[in-house]
Amino acid sequence: MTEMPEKYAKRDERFVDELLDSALAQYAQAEPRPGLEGRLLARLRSEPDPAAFGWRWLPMAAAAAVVFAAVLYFAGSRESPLATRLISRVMSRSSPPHCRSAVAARPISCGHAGCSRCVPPPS
Amino acid sequence: MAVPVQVTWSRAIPMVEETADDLEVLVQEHSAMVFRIAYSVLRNPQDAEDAAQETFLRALRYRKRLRQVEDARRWLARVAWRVALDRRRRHPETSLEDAAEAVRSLRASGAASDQIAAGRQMMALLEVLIAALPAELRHAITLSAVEEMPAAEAAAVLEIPEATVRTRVFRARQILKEKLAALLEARHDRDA
Repeated sequence: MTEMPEKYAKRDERFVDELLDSALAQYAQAEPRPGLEGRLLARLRSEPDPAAFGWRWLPMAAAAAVVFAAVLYFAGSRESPLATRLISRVMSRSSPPHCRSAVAARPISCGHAGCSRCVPPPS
Repeated sequence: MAVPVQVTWSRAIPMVEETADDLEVLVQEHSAMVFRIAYSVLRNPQDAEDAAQETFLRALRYRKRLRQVEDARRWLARVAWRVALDRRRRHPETSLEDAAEAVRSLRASGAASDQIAAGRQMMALLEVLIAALPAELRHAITLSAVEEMPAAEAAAVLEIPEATVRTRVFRARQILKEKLAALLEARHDRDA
């Protein structure tokens, strides 16, 4: 820290005091451009209401939940697992015609030796 | 006191009437304080206005919490302070020696202390000197320079005891005074 020079007269010291006081008093006294309140309020007005977010998405979320519940219900009501039946359905659409009857009977593998689309039967 | 602004809230934005009124009152009563707090840190009117907008947007987002706050003014002051600190990136553009030389010239020309203080050069010099202070002293002196900010509120913003704020402001002023005196003394030494 700089030592205050001894020769600095009282008058100069008082000048520095007053200068610092005045400068600090004005340091943060800037005035905003006219209309600050209006601009702030306009900005707030244009902001989407965060509280409305949940309500806006609630119907879609509810619909999605109903669909999901329905899928689970129908999947659980059959004897075969859902995954197996889905694979079966996909395969029945995409497999060669010679595999389709076999797929319907045994969904994982049609048993056809040359069929590359089917899952090979466990050895 | 600011003139109340009549605001019609958009229908596209569902806002509870009470909330709109609350925010409108907050903006009307505290926008000047928020602006000045931001300005004391950012030293630029446009940046300070951007920070003020960010402050009130946070008030909008956290308005439920704000309703439970005991002193909304202090809450806003603290948010404005943090927003401004987050946004501060620039350093003083004027060099210490340039600013000091300008102030010395003004003094040599016989200008009074309040005239010099009102000048751009003195503000630039003070900005450089404050920027060189340790952070804890800088924060205390910066907030205390805001007219609407008594020591108790500055303490609340900085989350330190009021006595600590006073001590830090005193120490900061001492350092500023000594540096300022030394800078002005340089002219005396040179002239001698």
